[in-house]
Amino acid sequence: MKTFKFVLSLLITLALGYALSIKLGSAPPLGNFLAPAIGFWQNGETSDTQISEHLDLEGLTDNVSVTYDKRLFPHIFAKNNHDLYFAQGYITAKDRLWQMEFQTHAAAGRLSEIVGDKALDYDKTARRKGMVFAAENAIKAMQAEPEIMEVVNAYKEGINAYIRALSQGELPFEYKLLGYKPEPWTNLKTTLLLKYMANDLSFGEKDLQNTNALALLGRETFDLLYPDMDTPLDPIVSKPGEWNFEPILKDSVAPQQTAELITNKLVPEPTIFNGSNNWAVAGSKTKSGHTMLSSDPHLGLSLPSLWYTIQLSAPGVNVMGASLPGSPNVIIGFNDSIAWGVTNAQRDLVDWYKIIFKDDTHNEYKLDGTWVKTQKKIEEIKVAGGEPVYDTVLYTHFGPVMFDDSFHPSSEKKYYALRWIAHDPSLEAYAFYKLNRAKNHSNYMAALDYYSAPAQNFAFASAQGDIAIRIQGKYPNKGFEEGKFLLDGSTTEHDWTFIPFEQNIMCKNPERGFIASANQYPADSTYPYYITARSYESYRNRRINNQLRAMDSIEVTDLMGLQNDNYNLKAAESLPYFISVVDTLPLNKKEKNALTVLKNWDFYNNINSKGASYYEAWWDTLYRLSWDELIASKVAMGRPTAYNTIKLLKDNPYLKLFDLEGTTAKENGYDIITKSFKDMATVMDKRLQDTTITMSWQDYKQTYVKHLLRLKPFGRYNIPIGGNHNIVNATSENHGPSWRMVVELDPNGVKAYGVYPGGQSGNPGSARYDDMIDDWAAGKYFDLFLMASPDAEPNQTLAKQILAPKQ
Amino acid sequence: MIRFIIQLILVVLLSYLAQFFMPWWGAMIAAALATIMVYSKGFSSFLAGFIGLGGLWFILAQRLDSANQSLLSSKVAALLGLGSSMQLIVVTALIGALIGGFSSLTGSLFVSMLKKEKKSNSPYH
Repeated sequence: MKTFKFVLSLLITLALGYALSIKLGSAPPLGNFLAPAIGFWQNGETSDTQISEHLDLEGLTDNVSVTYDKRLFPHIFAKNNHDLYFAQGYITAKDRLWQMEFQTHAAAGRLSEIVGDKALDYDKTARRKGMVFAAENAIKAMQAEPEIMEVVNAYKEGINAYIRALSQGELPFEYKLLGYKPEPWTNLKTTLLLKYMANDLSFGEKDLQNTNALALLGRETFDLLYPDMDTPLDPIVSKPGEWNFEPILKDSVAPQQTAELITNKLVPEPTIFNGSNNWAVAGSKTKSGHTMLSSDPHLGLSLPSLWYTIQLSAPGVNVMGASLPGSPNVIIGFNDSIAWGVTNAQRDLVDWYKIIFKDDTHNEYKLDGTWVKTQKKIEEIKVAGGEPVYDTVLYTHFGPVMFDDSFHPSSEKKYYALRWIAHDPSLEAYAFYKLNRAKNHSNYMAALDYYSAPAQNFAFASAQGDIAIRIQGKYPNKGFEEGKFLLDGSTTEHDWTFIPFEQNIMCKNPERGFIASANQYPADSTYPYYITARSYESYRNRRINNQLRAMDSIEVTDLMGLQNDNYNLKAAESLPYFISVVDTLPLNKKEKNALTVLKNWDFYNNINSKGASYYEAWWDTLYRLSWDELIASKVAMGRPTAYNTIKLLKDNPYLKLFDLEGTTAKENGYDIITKSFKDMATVMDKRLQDTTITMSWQDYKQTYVKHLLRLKPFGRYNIPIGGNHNIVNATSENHGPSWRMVVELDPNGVKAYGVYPGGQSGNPGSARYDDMIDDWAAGKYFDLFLMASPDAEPNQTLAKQILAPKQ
Repeated sequence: MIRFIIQLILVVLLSYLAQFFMPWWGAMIAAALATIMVYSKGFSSFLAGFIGLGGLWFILAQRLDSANQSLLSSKVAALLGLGSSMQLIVVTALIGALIGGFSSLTGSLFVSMLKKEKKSNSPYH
């Protein structure tokens, strides 16, 4: 009996222990998660941030001094390159390890390992895009450059020194929540991180949508809806007739005019709102006579933040700015001589080729009249709580076959291979390494010669007084409309060749005294090469250029004001017309009320503005009604830009597509403006009756910053910030300026200011996790002190730390 | 009663020490060990483990939470569908109490099983 009692009690105890050691449903293993000595309780930081004064680290060659300023921005002072990047890796990992690894897992298509089979489609997509293939090619290119290999290796060692010393209690919160552990960092992860950015920034394309649209709508409507240049030209670089080089022009190639419909379910694209602003002004336009530069990249808003502020100092370099956790160097920043910032260059850097396989084995495909062998790569996708899944990816001359029988198949057998600029060997890390050290315009130009993808508009200003912009990337040299549609993959006729770097679009010290870019059409119409892209932005650029043209005696605060500018140029250009359509109609009470609000609006999307809420509600409804056929279509088709939609509504109101689906009446542009107005007025009136919400633009828009795992309590909601798409302050619901920086290049000491919607710590248990969000929303900036030595700013110093080589 | 108090102190002491060099389930071994070292009957042992480890985890969690001003626990509580940080501390303590109680009980029953065997082997019986 006593034995039985003992065994029973033992079994209950063991069962309890077991149940607390495993994941039950989506709950974390509760033993590790809740036990106070090692569980999540350990991740709660005290309000005064604890920083060790002295750390012994295996792998350092000399002492490194780190000064943390009051914003927790680390200022790293090392005696050599190795130790500098070792320390960057270590310090960044200390604050952001989980995010760094999670993002590289996402890039590599390994999320199923962590979150289970719900991420399988995401993982297969990443693998079929060839993300790892791309990162491996980047490593091969780096191996030929010992200088950058030293940097990347040291960065890796620094991260691993941090990982090695981690105890269970010190594990970042998300590891405990999801019940896994970090693996050693590798150079592949560093390159994957850059490919993660390339995917966000250079995968925007609509070749397949274009192919469908051309087949379904016909040439005339297609050209109306999707012109290559649908924008009032205010380009990044305008120097008509002064493109002084001998272009290598290709013969015009007719698009493949098959009536082919691509019925595969296409993969999600990066949002079209990934964009940015940057500009630089010459001394002739500033009050101090110094050049100034501003940069604010617009990306998805998430926590932990994408960016991490850091200063890196060692013999030969002293640079500060925004770094990407997972990649060495500063990505957007300044040193005592120059400043630079980036915006995305809109350009078609993705092509699709239709492949003809010999038979169902897919062992051979047709190329230039012969059968060529396919490379097969078997991808093993590990799945948390399940069996691994295997996916065979076929590699062709052009690149991986994305769509086939086993991935998003269509009813017929169709195979489309992907050619993407990010697959090519490239040396972005080396470009940033050199940019960090640049002293003048020619150093900046030399650094950018190493930069291939994702294509960016690099704005530049120097303390010597130069300003410049270079639209840098490796661009396929295209014939007219080549690659705008699906290409024939049975021939090498459409293989990519490239525009020589020196023939890229660029300019230095233009007469107008400023350079600026905001994802618009890049050059005036005399630039000799054919250019196309998924879309161009047509409002922010004109607002920025108009403001900069008008400004004089510019001070830093003026440029901060411009970054936070909420003027809605799109509304100013479209609302008076929309109102004129509905103004003379008989209206009911709620419609009259809506019209009054709109007529009294000043076109600013400020947080308290009601007019902004009504306008944006109207616009969203109108846009949906305008393109209802395209949105509802079973095969994917692109959507015209906001600018072109407004233009067509004004100039082409009887366009057949404006007729609504599912009604017997024949609607035109006027009808849908009216219908969308009435629908909007009804919805807004209903909202008016709800006493829990106001009509203010802040409450209507509800900007939020979400945790990378979309855990609701770990994000921030209803943030008081104005702006929207197509506005210089491009903050929409969950997208916007992910970093704002303004730099004045005073030769006697650079002055710089920056802020981002997050905090330096990636730990949700730290007050520093999201402590800059409110300041960011309010348009405030913090000093970015480019310290000359660890003791340069004693009043701003929070803590000092020595990283010493372990004896 | 004194035996119970000694047991209780031992559970707290051993499981507190165990957490520095063992995984979380070290606390279970500690709680069992405590009742093996100082034996009392089943229910009383269960109670010693239950109160000992539950109380220890309550105090540890509560102290960490107060130093953090409930910044993290309020988020975790919301994530797990709990109403407040205090509820999360209580859940933590309850789990500690349960594993502590059953571990101590198992330890006690182990000793009593051995005693029985000893008795049956005794020539004086």
